[in-house]
Amino acid sequence: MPEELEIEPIETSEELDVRADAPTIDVHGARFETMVEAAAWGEASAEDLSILEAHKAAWQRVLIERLNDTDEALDRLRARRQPDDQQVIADLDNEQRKLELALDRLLGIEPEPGELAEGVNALQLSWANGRLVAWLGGPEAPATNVEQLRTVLAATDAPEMWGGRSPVTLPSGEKTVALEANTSDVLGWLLALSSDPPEDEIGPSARWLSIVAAWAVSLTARGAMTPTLRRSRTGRRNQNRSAFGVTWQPALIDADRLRIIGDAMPGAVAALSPSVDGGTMARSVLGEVVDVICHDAARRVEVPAAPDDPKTIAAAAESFLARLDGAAFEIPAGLAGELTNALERWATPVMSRNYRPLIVQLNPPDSGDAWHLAVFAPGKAEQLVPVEVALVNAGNQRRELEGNLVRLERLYPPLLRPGSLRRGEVVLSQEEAWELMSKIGLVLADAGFEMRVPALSRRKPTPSLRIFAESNGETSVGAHQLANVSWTAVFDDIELTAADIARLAKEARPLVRANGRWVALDHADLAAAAQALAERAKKPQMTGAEMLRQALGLDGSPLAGGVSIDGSGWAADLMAKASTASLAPASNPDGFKGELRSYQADALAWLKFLDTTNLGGCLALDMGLGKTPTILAHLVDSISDAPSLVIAPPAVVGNWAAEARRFTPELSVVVHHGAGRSDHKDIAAEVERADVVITTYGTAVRDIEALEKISWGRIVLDEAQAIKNPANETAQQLRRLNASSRLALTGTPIENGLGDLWAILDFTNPGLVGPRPHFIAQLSATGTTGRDQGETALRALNGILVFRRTKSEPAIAAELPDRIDELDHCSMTPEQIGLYQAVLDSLVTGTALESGADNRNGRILAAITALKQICNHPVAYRHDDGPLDGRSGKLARLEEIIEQVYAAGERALVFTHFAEWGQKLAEHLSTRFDTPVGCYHGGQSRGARDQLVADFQALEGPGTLVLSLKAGGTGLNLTNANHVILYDRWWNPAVEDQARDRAWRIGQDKTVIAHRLMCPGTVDERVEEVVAGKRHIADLVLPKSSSLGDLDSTQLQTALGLRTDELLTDTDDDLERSIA
Amino acid sequence: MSRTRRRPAGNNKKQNADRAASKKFWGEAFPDDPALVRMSTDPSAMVMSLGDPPLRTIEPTAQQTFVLVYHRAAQLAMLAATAAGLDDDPLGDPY
Repeated sequence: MPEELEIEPIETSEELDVRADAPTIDVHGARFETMVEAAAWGEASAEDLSILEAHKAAWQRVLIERLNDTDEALDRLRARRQPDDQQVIADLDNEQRKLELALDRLLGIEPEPGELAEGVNALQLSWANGRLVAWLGGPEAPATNVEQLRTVLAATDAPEMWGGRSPVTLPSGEKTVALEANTSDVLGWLLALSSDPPEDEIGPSARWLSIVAAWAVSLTARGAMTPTLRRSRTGRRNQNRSAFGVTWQPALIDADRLRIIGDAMPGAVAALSPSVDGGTMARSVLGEVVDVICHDAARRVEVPAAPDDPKTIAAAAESFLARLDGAAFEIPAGLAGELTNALERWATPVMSRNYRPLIVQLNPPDSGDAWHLAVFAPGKAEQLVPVEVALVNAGNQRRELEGNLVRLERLYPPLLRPGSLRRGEVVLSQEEAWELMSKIGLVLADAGFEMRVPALSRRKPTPSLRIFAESNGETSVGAHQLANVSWTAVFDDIELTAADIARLAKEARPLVRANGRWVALDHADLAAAAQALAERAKKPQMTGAEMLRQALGLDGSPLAGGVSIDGSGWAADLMAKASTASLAPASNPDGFKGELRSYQADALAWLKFLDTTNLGGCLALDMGLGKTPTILAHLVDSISDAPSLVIAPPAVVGNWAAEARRFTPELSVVVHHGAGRSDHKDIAAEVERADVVITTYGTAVRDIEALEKISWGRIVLDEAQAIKNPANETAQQLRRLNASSRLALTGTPIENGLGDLWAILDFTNPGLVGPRPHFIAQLSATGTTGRDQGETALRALNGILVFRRTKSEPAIAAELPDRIDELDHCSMTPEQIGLYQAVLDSLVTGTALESGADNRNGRILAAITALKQICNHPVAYRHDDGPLDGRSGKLARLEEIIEQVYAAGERALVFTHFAEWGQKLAEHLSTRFDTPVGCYHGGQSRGARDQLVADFQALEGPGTLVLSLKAGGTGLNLTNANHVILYDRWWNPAVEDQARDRAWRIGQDKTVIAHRLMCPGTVDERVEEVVAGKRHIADLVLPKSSSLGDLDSTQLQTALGLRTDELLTDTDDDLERSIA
Repeated sequence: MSRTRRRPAGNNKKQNADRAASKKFWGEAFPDDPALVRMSTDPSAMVMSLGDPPLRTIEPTAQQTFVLVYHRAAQLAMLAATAAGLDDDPLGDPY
């Protein structure tokens, strides 16, 4: 009955399935059929293929018709059974395969997994007398030449050790070129073929040989081989004496594995010896590879010298030992036979063709310390037969069984201990059991025994202490709540009381069971745990704060794993919530118009955790990681009757207000700063209508009398390093503020030492972290120093009192954009304001008298330059040699940024377009931070500039390079920096972009943070507006087609004058004084 | 036009046989991964378990020499395995 081969029908008709640009051809004509045949034979021209591609449906139809014709012709010829037809049948068979292949290709039918693709040549390896024979082949693959073979070998990194040999004959009778190599010369390459994933160019035969070679290597690494004597292939022979050589043979061969591998052998492996079966072939390969490695090893070992003329069995033995490297030697044939027989008898237990290992089973004690060891022989259906019983019933297997039991007894002498009930059984002490599980068992397994021992943990358990707290009805709540406590020691997940520890400490090898695995405890750890428990037993009650300090490591822990808290009460609840908060990141809150990054969502969950536990905390996200939006998300998420007070440096007050407008437009935000702020009596009313009040440190201190009367929901200190000195006025005064919770934000919680962190945490949670010296001493005892010590301390507190994330964490870095742009608002000092006003007054007065547009233009442009210099620093304008400290808000902000950059161990570029000012800045920063800062400017020689760049690129620690915008803004590669500070602004944004791109370019592997410094209410801001594209330079104040020279006094004042409502000053008196 | 191909059943047997022979010769991707290699902590344990080698009068010397050769062979094997990326996880389950 005919069978129908279903082919996926083509949906469209042939007419419709024609490409629009297809050449015209009669798809039912002879020429088209000829093209289809030529394509199937692999002889079609590119033009023909293009035509066929354009008429795929017709191509498929013709192929199917031709296949049906061929099928029918073959059927007829085979039915005739005429010998003369055989050649025709063979030709048609071949034609049929090619047509089928062409149809498969057209229909996109892939070969079955593992099957070689038709028509593709792959590297094949055959095995012939211990040598590897390489050739190219595959089903229906075209013939190849030796150059192609060498190319494929080279592509697989084969060593150039391949020599010519006779061709390999394929099943079709065709011959293919082959090359040959010694196994020893190409063993490494052969092994590597098995570890790579299968690829098209590596044929199954090559992979099979590679896998068998890997097995041989594994056996050798275990020591599973024995030496024996074989007649040498190369040595001379005479009547009485023959040449012999030592051969190494693999032992302990798993019969089941050998069968599976043998069955899977591709015939191509045995292309040169087709009658050899897979199992035999695998044994041959195993033997050759083991032999190659052992001969090499023996050549590298000093062995006793061989006797000159061995005539006795002892001398023959000496010759044998001296020739373990395989070198041929002559001994009388009789002695060789005697020695060979003895060696084979000696090795019999491990050389069985059906080797089945004895099973060594260790059972743990139900109680006490007695472990039971028993040896079994494998029985039928996975049954275990006690070896003594098996010996009785072994029949002709007895000798082998006995031999292997004796081997085991030699390797494991406790089995021979007198007093055992049966042979193959023994009771082990705890220490012996541990030795067997951890060390000796591995040796026994490698020596050919199946070890069934309880699972053991190879990891040393980390001891810790655990407090179990129970509320004792104490009325006070929170951190001051007293609870009854009991202490235990915990080794990973094993909890031990003092009594347990005392019992275990008496054992030579203390073992406990954890998570189904046996774990050995260290005597020193047990002693430390016992001492720690004894010391703490004297204190049966603790407050929540005391427990928390224990858990955070602030009161020290004698054990490496620290202290955990269990049970009930404030501290236990807090620790439980902390672990939950870290597992459940918060989602974007309602009212937050943005997308929190995952670490920001984690931070938000942590902030919620603080709320639920009435704790304050320090949000220590690295600079650029978005502390402000994270806090805004928290504020909008937890909006309440009580407003929040944000205290920040003047430079970032504007940024806070802008970010609040952007991310949390629903929040009612009041900026309490500047001359126009509410006075003391109006503050309460101002706060009444606000969700968030933003102020500066200076203003907060000045208005502290009024602010302390308000019950704040939260106080947020931004750039909280401002209070790192707990004795300073700001830190002292801000403690007077009342709030439900206190948050501190800083990217550098530890700038100078752990004291900085203490100051911040003691502000956020007064009294909780204990006295400063104690805090520092405990967190210093980590064995680390410097920045590492700080980060270790932050890790200890992370997730509870601190939330720390840095840009260097891969998960964080992966989320960050490769560039973050920040705009920093800078304050003006009274000196800057006074100078600015004076220059402006002079300009307004001067230009009023000036005649001619060019002159007026010149004066105005000079004045703009002067005003920008004043915004930078009075010294930049006056060119005096006075000190720089305390005279410029912009410089103060730069120092704050550099301080944070240095604290993170990073590097910055500072651009200014005033070269002279740049040099002063570099000198000032060098002194200020005690770190040399270079200045790159156009006045230097080329060599000096190149040296500056090279030195900076080679820097490993913190560093800064100041550059003039003109000289250093283009062409340089300064990827060693990941902070770029545009100290002053240039009208053309492209110039600034080019400057920033010195660091943000190929080769940069960190997020680049670009800071733009700007003084609001000044010419600086006008430039910013131009750069930001908000206004065109000519539109500053002018009607279209006017020029600077056309400005009258009022317009000049509007364009360049100070806008006192926007101006930032450190103190409000500054502004009032300066204006006056 | 029919888009199915008619194939005589008798012819199919021959083709199947040919295809099976071809597959047997060229083989399929071997399903097993290669054996990962771990060096024994005592590569001479197996040979020592066999007792004194039958090398009369030089048994102690032979034992010592075997220990040296077995250790060196295991090292070379491990070296080759590591170079080929076949080294086993040293912290993996030993059994």
